Amino acid sequence: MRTKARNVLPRGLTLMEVLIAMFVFLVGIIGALAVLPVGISNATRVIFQDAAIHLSSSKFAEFRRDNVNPLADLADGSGYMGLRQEPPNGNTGGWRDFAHVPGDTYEFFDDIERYEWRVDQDLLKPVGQGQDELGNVAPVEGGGGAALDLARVTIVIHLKGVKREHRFTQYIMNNN
Amino acid sequence: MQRLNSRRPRGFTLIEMLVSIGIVLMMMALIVPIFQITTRTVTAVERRLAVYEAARMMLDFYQDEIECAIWDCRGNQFGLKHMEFEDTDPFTPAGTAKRFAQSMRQADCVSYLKAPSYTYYSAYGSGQSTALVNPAWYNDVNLCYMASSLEMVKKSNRAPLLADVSTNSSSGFYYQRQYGPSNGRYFKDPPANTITLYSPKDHPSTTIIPESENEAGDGIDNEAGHGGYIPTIPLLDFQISYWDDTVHKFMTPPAQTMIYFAPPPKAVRFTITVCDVEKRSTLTLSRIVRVHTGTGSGFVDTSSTDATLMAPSPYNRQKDMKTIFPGRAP
Repeated sequence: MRTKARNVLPRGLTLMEVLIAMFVFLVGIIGALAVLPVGISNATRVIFQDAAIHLSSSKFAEFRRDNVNPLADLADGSGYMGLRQEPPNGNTGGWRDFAHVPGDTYEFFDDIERYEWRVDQDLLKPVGQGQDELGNVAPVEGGGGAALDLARVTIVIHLKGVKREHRFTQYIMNNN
Repeated sequence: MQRLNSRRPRGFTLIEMLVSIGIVLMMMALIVPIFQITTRTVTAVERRLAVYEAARMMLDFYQDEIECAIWDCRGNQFGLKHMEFEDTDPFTPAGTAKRFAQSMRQADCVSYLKAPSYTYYSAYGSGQSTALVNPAWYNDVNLCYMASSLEMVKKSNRAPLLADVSTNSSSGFYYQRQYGPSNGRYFKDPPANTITLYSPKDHPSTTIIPESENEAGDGIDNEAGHGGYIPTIPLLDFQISYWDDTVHKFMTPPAQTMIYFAPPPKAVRFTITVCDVEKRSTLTLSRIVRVHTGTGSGFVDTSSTDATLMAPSPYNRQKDMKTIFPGRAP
């Protein structure tokens, strides 16, 4: 005998179903929020990159202001790097702080103590004799003349405490 | 008995509803603060990005301008003026540790010469786009200024800007074109083979060139019709230091002081403090800009009959301007 008790309609959600739905909802919300820190991290990276642009531009201006002879003056141990530029700060990699005590060149730059710099000595190589070490075509004077006495100068800006760094390269005449 | 088993679905019980609502409330209590914190952080970062972008744009502009600067036959005509004002905006209370966050507003000005580009009213003559097209005009130059709007505005309009720093326009620049020989020229004029310095009397007001700076700071208006502002973001400070090659330091002129350089300094340092329009975030950045002083082998016309023009220029001529704003102690 068939009873009507077997034909009842579902009575709705159980408490367990509600709890599971809530849990899924919670996971979704947390997942959505987890995207925001990624955006913030990217923004922080942009800010660092922006500051690095300013600082490297200033360093290049310093080198040109002082009429440096890159291969000689920007090498480790040179008189210029010893007397006219900031000394190494002791961190591995030959980094140098930006001088920022009152009266120093970089005293007015927000969070300047977080940044350090170096001139990449490995890239201080004259070009004009074939290809440079990055495979670039070396500039020479027209008509197969003598190589331009250019040096490639790379300034590396590093944010302390992280691996991130930015490299900026310019060519400077070696005997300017 | 059968009706008991065939009743309609009963839905949630009160207990189930209370438990569910309680769980929802607990979840909201956990999530909402996280969401608020994250939102605030994102807003702050976006604001920071905005001021960085504005600062970079301004400093790029300053650098591009100064790197285009030229000099007269004596390496003359490069001037820096250092002005300071106390603002009354509670946004920038005095006494903070950082100099450029204090209520002292730096409002410097740099003047320089620049070869003019083509405009409809080109100094090179009708339809002549560049100096090379019409060499007879190549000696004409523009006298340019870059300054904060706080410096550029007329004195009578300065108080409102100091009361609400967010109403300050960002940096201003100003060009005053030099025309024919009747107005004087900075450079050698080949046809006449004479050198005539620009005479302030030809443009009697509002310039900061030598002997005319008594009106500087009283507002450089656009009476010559060639100037403008960069209407981007409030510029709180615009400070310019010059490189002193004898002490190897960047030096800032004393307050309310004008310095004329001959030759120009090897480099200048622009320092700006900007804020967002809501005055919540500030940013101070500086940029060193090399000044193209050349090799020092510039041409000097010794045939001129005007001996005063050929006399060596004293280096770093300085003129005290403290009397211009007697109400502001330096």
